[in-house]
Amino acid sequence: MASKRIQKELQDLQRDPPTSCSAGPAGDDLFHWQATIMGPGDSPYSGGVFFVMIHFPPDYPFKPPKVQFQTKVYHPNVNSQGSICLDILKEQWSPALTISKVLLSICSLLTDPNPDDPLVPEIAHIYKTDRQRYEETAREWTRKYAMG
Amino acid sequence: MTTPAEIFPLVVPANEDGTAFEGFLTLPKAGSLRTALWMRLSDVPLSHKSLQGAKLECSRELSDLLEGCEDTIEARMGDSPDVTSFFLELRNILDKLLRFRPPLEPPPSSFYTGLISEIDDVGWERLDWLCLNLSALHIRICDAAGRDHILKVQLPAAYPEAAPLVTAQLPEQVKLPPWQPGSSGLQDLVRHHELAIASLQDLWACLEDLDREAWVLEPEKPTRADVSRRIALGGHCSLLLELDPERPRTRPAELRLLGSEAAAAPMRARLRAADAAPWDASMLPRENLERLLQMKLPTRATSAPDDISGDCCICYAYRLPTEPAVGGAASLGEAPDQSCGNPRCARPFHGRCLREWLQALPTSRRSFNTIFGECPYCSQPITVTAS
Repeated sequence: MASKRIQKELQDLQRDPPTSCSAGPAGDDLFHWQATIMGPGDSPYSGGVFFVMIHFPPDYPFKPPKVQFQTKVYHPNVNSQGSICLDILKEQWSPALTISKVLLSICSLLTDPNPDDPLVPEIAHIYKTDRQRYEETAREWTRKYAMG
Repeated sequence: MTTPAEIFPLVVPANEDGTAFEGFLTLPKAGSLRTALWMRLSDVPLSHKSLQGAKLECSRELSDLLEGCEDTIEARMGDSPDVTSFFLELRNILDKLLRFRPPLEPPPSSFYTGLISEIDDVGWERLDWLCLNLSALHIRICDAAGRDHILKVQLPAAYPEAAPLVTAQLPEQVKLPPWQPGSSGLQDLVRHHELAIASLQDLWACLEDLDREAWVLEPEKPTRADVSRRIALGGHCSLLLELDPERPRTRPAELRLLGSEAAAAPMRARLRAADAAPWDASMLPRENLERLLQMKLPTRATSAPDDISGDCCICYAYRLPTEPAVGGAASLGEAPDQSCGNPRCARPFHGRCLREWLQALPTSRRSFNTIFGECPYCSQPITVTAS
């Protein structure tokens, strides 16, 4: 059942690709995808290309996909393992969502971090108290890990 | 303990290591095979765990017999811990093959001379394909509208006394005259099909018009035997219709609206109000539908795919997958039978998908046999039976 839905999402993605993201199976396994997200222009991640790994559970879409950054990101809601703290990937998941919508949500999370529900409290603290320092570090990490 | 020699006495070790065996297979039911079945098994691994990697060579007759079973043999090799068990497996496979596919005695020469003169009568230019041993052939019939039809004919050894097995893509309602042993021939067969095909011209014209000018959701790849179509009407609503092969332009006996009640009800009312504008048998079924429904039928070119298909909005499929029945073709799975009551959403769901989703939500409530929850799309209240 899951594979039919995943196949259809893939077709829709190919027919109507979302801006600034792309996604598709990493190999022969339809349940294991790789995606890229372009750093949003109005964020310190601008110019970076971020790789994201997507794992579909066998009972997708009843359970959310597992989504993880493979590229290091300096962000209050992304930890050093690449785990993302995003409500729609947890309790707010719904079968009405698609991978395309999930990737767009991650894009807007890059632009607008959510420091009140942080995964890395230190970065959230800096984000709240010293925005300039946060932006500088995020830009530096982007240059170091997400370019070239 | 059984030894390889007890299974196939004429297959003997071909070297001292026991990694190769060669000889002739003896099978109780193989008496009718006039040539001996020679085989050679080599490169047998000495690990004694599996025969994976061993090489099986066969004489022409044996490999003809085993044709199509290569994967099974490969798998059995992998499963067999030693040569003895592999020989047992091989003997089982051969027993089955000989039982279900007895090697045929070639038919008498009159079969061939008769067949050749029959093809002469039909015309060799209409022969699309001929099996090498002349036991099957395809005849091409071109109809008035330039459609090619292929008549697939299988000839039993007792032909023409025994009826040939004929397959052609014709609606199942079409009845053809039965085979008359002694008087029927290929030419009659072709003539009967030509008549049937000629009588179905208007049916195919109507169906092709639907396939071209509407969005056909089912069958996915219609054949000339399919007389029913499920077409998209938009708004998660679709229409199932079945044309009468003899009178394709009359109002179809089956005209069923599928999809959310909110979208289907006004369409149903329009179809029922046919007194004002009755079905016009001089027009194509599609033109009649567009006139009665007062809309242009959506096509793939003019519509967005999302609200068209009537697919379940959870699993994205129209039919739920089914387990194929034992010994039969897979039956059609359940179609979406639930839909959101909010007319602006109206998305269709399979009861099973909606139940599975709502049951897992902490916000859903259950009262007796009904689960109360929210539509995953518009968050309006939605219910589904719990079992």
